[in-house]
Amino acid sequence: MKLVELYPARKEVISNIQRIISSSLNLKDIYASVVNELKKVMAFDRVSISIPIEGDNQAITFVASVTSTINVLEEGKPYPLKGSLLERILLTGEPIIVEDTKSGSHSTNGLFYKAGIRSRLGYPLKVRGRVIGSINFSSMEPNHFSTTQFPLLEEICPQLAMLTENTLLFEKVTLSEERYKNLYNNARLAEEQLRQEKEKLDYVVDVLGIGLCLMDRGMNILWANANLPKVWGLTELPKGARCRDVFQCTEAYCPVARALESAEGRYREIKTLVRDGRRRYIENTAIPLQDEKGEMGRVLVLSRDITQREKRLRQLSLLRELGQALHKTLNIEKLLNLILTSVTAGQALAFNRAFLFLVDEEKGSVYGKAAVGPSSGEEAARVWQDVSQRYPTLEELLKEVMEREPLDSPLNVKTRLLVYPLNKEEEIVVRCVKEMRSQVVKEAATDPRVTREFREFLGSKEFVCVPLVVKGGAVGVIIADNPYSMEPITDDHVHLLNIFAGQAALAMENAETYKSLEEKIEQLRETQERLCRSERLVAMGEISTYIAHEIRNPLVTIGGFARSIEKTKPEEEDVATAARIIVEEVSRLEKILGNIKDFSKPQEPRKVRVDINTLLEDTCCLTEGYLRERGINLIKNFSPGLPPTFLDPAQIKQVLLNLVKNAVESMEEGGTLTVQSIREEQYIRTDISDTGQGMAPEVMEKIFTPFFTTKTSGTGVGLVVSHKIVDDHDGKLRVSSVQGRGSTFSMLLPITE
Amino acid sequence: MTNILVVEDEKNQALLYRNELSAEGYSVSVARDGREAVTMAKLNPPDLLVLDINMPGMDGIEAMGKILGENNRIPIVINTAYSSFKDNFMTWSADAYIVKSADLTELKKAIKEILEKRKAQ
Ligand SMILES: Nc1ncnc2c1ncn2[C@@H]1O[C@H](COP(=O)(O)OP(=O)(O)OP(=O)(O)O)[C@@H](O)[C@H]1O
Ligand SMILES: [Mg+2]
Repeated sequence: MKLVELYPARKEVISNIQRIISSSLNLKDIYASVVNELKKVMAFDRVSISIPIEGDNQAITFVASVTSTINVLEEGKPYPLKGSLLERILLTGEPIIVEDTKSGSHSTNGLFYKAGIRSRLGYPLKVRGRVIGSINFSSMEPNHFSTTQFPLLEEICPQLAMLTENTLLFEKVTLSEERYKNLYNNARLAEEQLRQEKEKLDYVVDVLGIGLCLMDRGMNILWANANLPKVWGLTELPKGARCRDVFQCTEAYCPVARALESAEGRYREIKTLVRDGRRRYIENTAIPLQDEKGEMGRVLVLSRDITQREKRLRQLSLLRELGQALHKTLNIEKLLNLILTSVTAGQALAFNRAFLFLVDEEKGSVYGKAAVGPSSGEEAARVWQDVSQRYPTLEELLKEVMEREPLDSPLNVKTRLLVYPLNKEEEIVVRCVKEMRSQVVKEAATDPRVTREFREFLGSKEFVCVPLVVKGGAVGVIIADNPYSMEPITDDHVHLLNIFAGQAALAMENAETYKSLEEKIEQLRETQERLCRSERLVAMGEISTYIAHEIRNPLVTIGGFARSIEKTKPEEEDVATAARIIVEEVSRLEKILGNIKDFSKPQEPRKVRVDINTLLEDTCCLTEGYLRERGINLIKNFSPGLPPTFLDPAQIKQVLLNLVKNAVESMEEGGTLTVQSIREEQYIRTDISDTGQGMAPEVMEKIFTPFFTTKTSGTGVGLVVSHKIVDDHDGKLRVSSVQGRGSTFSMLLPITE
Repeated sequence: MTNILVVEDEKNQALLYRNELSAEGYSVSVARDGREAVTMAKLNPPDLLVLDINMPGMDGIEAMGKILGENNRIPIVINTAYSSFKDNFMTWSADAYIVKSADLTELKKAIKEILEKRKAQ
């Protein structure tokens, strides 16, 4: 039994580990330092962290010991999970000791035995009750580990677990970022290929679709193929036409003239003209040729309509631009708004309206999340005019969207009312999620995929529905249509929207991961705080041990003899009274000692289903007389219909009494005490507010420190014990205070089923 | 007469136990530390042992081990100022674990119960 000597060492180790963990976020460094600390209080030859690989029957040694040279289960190399120590721990959530690898029943034992390891200890790493892996110690001696190591590990493992989980999460974020980058690269690659293709085409005279003509030095057209007038939108080629009749060159720059001047190389230009109200791009390439005399007296001109290709290039760079914009925010609400704006912006995908539906796995439904677009034709004309004037470039528009809170349009409200259960496959939204393929509807009125309800909601004849797919599952759906411009939805549009949806889905996943990462960091912070407190409690355990010994003993003697005197029924009344007073005072002191014992060896709360308001009512009843005596006015403000919670009524009552007592003690001149209950997310919050003297910041910092008190008759344990009890209920205790005005203590208890 | 051996290093407290337990009709002898307790128990085996555990040296525990080694039929009541180690020591085959108090009712009750149980066997 080395328990007692270990006390100070253990306290130091815990406090060191706490410091180490808060010092950086690099798991390996932290882990190495933690192992060094652990070595001070625990003997072992190897240590590692093992985690299961998601969806695979394998496990991986995440970090092998940095302090040992024993080489078994190489770091980062997967090994079969089946039969391993980790598998058992995952199953039971309990620590395991292998007394001797020579005879142990786990699959990995043989490996360890060969490496000279005889005994092992695996301890679960749990995050919120879920086992995410284990920390494994090994020793070269058999029967080396025992359950006496458990309390120490119990103290440290939640932190290590949280940290490991965080690291894994970070890796996940990095991974999806990597995938993101790949997507960009693919887009860029396609662009590059197109460029090369274009280059190649410049040399190969592909007669199909290319206008060809041969000119002499005088810029007279000697010959032209049938394509030339088509490319230039002419019905026929005028007889004896000259260069500028067809090519509409500017004087300053004419590729034909250039080609003739230099008599070598090729010259190229791209001409833009508007035909039938649409923009067209035509590329001209001039190639000098030898004439009959062997001089460079001829020029061959190739004209190609590159509108389609130009458009694709433009689209690709647009996609890249949009992708980059989506990458700029990790705020999910803003991101969704950005996605919808990209679908509808004139400079981007240019649909009239866009709707976003998201999958709720838990509820098994798809629901309308948001929509962007005008509600009528008139509004459309006005808004589009307005937007294109105010934000000439896409970049400016997206920037504005990022900074502005989304407006609640009628369309948006209508969309948010839609919910479809995931088994209602006749709904096109559900079908799109299930099949993970885009659905193009040309004729909503007759298309069997469209239900009447949905047709009436959307009100458009033609629309497209594309899934948002990540990791092989659909997380939502985008619907887009053009009810105002009536522009038909082409394959091109659908294709573009599909690629964009892929980017959008990835960005959404990124944002979600980030959100949970933020939550994890918050959790880590909380665990850290808790560890800080447990450090103080260890200190307190030592003090209480000391007090118990140094004070309890003389108290026994004093009180014991006083009792003896009392029992003899002394004749003199003075003596009897004195003995009685001693007995009373001693038992009061012993009771205080009993209290101190309570938090060095905490009692498990005995939880039962309780209506918090009833408990509050009881407590108020208990204190009413006490309050009246002190001229304190009690205001009760209980929210009706709060769900019942599981708690230990005696312990929680103790907390409430401690808080009320403190509140009363802060109002020496009387005042108002308000007791309020209210729901706050997944907690029930009870506020005890006073109009007393409040606390200075320096005081507030220390109120949860054992034995801290500002009162002459205080012991400074009320809040420490209260905090411990609330902690044992997985709750929180919050304080706010204004000096001279009063304080509010809030107790939050989780709502559990 | 039932013979009780009290192991208690504090003189005044030992006196208290001697008085109070004698008044209950027991014959009480006192040992000041573990070593004395072992010798006394060997010379004159008591019917019951009341043992204080002095945490720092833990000699009470050692004494208990020795005495039980010689004669494992002697019932033992641990009477100590340390409340927080109850769970650990209970497993050490003591018959009762009592946190010291000026009120000796609990100690007396435990002694009486253990002796009655022994007699019934
Ligand atoms: N409602 C309050 N208003 C102002 N100060 C408070 C309030 N509650 C607590 N405090 C401050 O926190 C300190 C610690 O409170 P705590 O209840 O732990 O100990 P205590 O009240 O001093 O003693 P006891 O153990 O008898 O309750 C108090 O001494 C006081 O300075
Ligand atoms: Mg108090």
